[in-house]
Amino acid sequence: MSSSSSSSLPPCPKKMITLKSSDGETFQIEETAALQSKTLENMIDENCASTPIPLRSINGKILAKVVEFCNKHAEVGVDAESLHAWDAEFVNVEYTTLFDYILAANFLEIPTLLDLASGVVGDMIKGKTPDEIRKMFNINDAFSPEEEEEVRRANQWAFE
Amino acid sequence: MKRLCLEAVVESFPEDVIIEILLREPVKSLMRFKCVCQGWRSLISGPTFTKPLETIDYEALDGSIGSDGNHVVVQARGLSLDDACWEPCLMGSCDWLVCLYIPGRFNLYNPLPGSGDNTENGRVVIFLLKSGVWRMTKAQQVNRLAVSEQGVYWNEALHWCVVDERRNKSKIVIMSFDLSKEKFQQVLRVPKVDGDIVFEGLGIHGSNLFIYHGTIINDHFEAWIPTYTRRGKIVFQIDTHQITLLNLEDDTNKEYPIQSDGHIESTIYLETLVSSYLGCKPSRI
Repeated sequence: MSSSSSSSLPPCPKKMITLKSSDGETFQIEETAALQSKTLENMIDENCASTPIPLRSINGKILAKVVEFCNKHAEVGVDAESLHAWDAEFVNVEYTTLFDYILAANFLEIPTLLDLASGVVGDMIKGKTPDEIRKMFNINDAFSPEEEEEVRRANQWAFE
Repeated sequence: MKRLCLEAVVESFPEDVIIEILLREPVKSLMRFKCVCQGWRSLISGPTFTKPLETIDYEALDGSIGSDGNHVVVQARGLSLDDACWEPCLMGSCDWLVCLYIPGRFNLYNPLPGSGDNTENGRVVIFLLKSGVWRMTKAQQVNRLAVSEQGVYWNEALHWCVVDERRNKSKIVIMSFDLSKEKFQQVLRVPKVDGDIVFEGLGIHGSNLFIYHGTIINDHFEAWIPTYTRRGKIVFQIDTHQITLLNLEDDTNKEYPIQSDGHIESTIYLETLVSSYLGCKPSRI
């Protein structure tokens, strides 16, 4: 199935692991940075990280950003304020991209990223109507108009 | 461990991700999002959202309770009471319920209209309040103990420290009101404390309920803070030289001497009490 060829990089003091996106791109990430992901940590612990790790639910564009996020958060000597600013810039993207971050963070179990992206989406949807939410989240199984009216009436005050 | 080979899930969010996002929403938004689809409705009506909300989202509500006019808390919608000079005392709150006390009766109030349509949860059924109306409980307070302070919510019940003056002697006991059964529960005995007690009260530290007493001895203030633990043992700091551990199961005492400067220690304990109570958040279940 998967190839067993190991990295052909010259010997390096830093331990690297390789991630492979759904569209076949590969990314190198230092083990210390990868440890922010509980999923990757488990694989490292079980010695499953010596070959490229296929991440079939994450495409290359998103995986690149996730790796960037992990690298930034693994940097030493970054003060909280500038990291905060960096984070804010990182999530200053379309909501569809934020959803991809959330799904990737959920799959890889990166609590800092999950928290950051969920927080932005949470703020985004606060004032939205059910219709807008359905569009955003691509939800098709809406209530029938009668059912919706009933639920709406029971929660009328929330629409005022 | 998670399955490592995930099929494409980008199109649909897993439920735990939706929960992660919705947990950040104010109550008002959540109520509105019940209309999004059946799935969201069940989710928002389910135990994840009826249970772990840490406090009532006062900002999502309007109006105020009580006479503290400047402090907007909760609109007492549809409340009508016989007494013109109504001065309710906030006894405590849990999840989405507020308990008010007016001498002689308790009022349980759910400020969120229609928020309790989850029939799985017995308590919510009991407190299903249409349009946020008030409702009197019919609970009988068998021993007629006078409650005068704000109750402490612990183990799904409100607890008060009260003075029991029956049988011609006055003693302090802990009385509780089970919010799901709408019943006053057995009174928990508090061991005798020497000295003139000037105040007593209950607090919560972590998952424990504790009681503290203050006395004045030789112009010094001392507070005794026993801890009522979940394992059924109560730790009493009887005075500055001794701790007693009471095992509720077999009613045995164990005494532990302590050596320290009592006056200072009492102060520290009191500080601990205040800060931990204010900072205490019920854990998410």
